Amino acid sequence: MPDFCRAAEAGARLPIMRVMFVVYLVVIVAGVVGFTVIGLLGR
Amino acid sequence: MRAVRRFARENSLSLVFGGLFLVALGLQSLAGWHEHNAEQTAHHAAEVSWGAYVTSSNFGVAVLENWQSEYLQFTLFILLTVWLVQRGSPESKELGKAGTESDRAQRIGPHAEPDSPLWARVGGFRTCVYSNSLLLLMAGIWFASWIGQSIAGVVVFNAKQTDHNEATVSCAAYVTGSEFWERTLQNWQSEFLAVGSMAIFAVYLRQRGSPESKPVGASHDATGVEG
Repeated sequence: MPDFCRAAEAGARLPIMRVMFVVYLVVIVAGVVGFTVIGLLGR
Repeated sequence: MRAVRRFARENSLSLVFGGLFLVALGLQSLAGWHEHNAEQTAHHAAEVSWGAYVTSSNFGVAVLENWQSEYLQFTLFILLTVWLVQRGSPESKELGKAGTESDRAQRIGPHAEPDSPLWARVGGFRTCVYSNSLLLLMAGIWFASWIGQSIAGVVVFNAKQTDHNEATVSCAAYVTGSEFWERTLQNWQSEFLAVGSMAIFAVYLRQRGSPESKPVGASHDATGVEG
């Protein structure tokens, strides 16, 4: 497969993988920040 | 529909592990809630709702102490495998490649390819940051989780101290005390054992089709080869 075709295919697939990247990151950040705030509130 | 099926197929690894995480976290919250209420009853205190339990420091410290150790494991593994090698292990680089390698080998700056990420192509500060971005994120999650564990941990510790009519402690006293380090080190030791044993077991043992293993027929000496 020529290089530009591979690049185009990789580009087309990027957003679909980005969804999973963002979901994982949001879950982790929400968990860490959420439990830290709960601790700071002394609950 | 085809797009959904394609999404599921192409992301099956992260989807399945995400699902397993949610199921395990849900079951942990139920088991922890029952355990917590049993302790409340034993101390003649009021039981709490599931919602109150999962938004409490009791649940928070139980979750974060495991998160921090997992992210420390990956942080150290990513960092140390830059320089340290294990002859015969698929988890290791080839023996002569220890170090951060040349720009050509890493395909950055003028050696980037047309489909290389933008920050790998541009050079300078952005390429420097992007060259270490995986380590930075994993280390950031580890450290933030560890801070979170210490903050939630001191709340739980002080609640127990109050129950037993004993003096509460400051956050600084808690993070230099045995309770915090027992919680921390019990997780670290298991992670270090698992990583070290995986690196050496994979020298001699195989799983056909797994990228975590060498090909079944690869020699025991073959290093940095994934099947």
